Amino acid sequence: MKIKQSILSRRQFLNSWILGTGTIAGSTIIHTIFSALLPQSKDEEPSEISLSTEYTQINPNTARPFFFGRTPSLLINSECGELIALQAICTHFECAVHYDPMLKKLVCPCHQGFFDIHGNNLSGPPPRPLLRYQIRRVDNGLVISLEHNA
Amino acid sequence: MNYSAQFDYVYQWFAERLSLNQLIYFLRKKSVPIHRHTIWYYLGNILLTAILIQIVTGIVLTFHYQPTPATAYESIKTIISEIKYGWLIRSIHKWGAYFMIAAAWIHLFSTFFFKAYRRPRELIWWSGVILFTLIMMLGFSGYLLPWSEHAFFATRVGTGIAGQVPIIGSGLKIFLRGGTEISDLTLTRFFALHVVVLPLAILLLGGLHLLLIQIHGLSVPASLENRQLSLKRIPFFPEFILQDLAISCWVTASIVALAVFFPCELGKKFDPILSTPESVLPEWYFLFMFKTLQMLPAQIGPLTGAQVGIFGFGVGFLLIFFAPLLERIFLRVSGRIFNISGIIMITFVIVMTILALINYDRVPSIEAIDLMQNTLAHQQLPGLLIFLPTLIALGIFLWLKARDLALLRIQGFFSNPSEEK
Repeated sequence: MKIKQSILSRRQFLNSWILGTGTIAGSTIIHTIFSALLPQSKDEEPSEISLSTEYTQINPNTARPFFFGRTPSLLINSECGELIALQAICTHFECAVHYDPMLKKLVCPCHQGFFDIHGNNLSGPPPRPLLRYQIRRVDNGLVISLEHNA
Repeated sequence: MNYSAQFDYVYQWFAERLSLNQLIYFLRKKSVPIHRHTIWYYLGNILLTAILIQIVTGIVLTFHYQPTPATAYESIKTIISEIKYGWLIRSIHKWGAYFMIAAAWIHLFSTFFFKAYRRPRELIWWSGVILFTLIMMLGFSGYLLPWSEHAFFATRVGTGIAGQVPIIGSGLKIFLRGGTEISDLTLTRFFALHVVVLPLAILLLGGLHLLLIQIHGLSVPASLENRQLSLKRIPFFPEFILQDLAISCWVTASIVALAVFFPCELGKKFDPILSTPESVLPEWYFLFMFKTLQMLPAQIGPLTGAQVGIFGFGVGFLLIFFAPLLERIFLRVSGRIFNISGIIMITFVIVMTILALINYDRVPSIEAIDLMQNTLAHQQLPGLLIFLPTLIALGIFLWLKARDLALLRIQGFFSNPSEEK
């Protein structure tokens, strides 16, 4: 049977097409703008880096900063001559930690967080130990790599 | 209205707090006169659309652009080749600027010939002329930011022209350049002008411009003023707004289409050791000035050719700016002389631009061609080819909706605002 009258009024027809095309166009614009705001893909962080021999000669009970990729890190020589490499970012709110030779601890000045020289959280608000790197001695210095705890 | 009860409740909640009903009542009462020059009323909206596109694309570009001589060019290269849709956003920003400036020129001269500057619209006129100047400055300051060869020399010439202005010239030049020469300081200044000072000024002054238009209503051309009361009128809301929105869709589609098919190039990086490249041309909207200054002889009487040219541009600008005051003086001499001066100015600009364009044979540099073979652009093309017809269709449906409402109004479904007291 043929329907004599349209089941859609002209008004409903136009409104639904405006809504439909408007949604497609609008979401395309929003998608384009927000994808263009995303940061460009930088190179991935390295899995290991090498440090020159001068890093092996740091004095006992001192620390020396280095960059693991773009991450600030510390190489610590303990009093007994043990080299420890730690990420110098506090696990509380990402302030930079420094080594205090008097306390023989790592200190986060932002919220008074303290870590021992192996990076274990001792007191204050930090919830976790600092990330510790593996150190391998090679002929021309050190190779620092991410620890695999598997 | 067949909204659900919940929607209606939310709408009423906001309507009560924002006085929406009064606003809609005001907009419904506001009407647009219909006559053979009605088409020029759409230009303000075209200009506004282009400005909004510039704001949005400009914000995206500011997220990635670095305003230092060492990194400016490279950051734009990154935008083109690595940022998703970066090439498109940058091209839209360029084509949007062209549309914005073209619309500003046409809007300025169409309202000039409408004599829309007459009492009580002097403040609308003056805010408009200042807005026009700010828009041109926006184009000028943006041209330096890529720190390419053309950008550098065009800015040196442009600020040099500013230096020739009597009295304030040398101070203005040093202020714009941040020193005696174009340097990293100039780039910082132009960046600040382009992304903060000028857009903010345009938003504030543009707001005043639009507010005053709401107060005084749309101006009717002087030639139709005696028939003003008998002119047909259509309500601004919703009919004219729907037409405006339809045109905004088509303008946006045109800008995006031009950006897709004629993407913006990036010349050679500026190298201070190299001499001026052979064809340094400003953007097309400054070409008339460029050609005039090129054609003037070195010395005219006691003045240099450049000084005469700048004096001429200054006189033209002041004639436009002070039109509301000057017209009355001119009218005592002859009724037509003011119109004729406008026609002479617009003819001069067009002829000079064409003369400059005849020798316009800029070959894109090798680097620019490489960037156009952007793999990202090719991947993103199919999506854009769906977007463009959708936007054009949206415009058509909005226009049909406006026509539909007009038919209902004529058949007496709504009260005709022109009949309302």
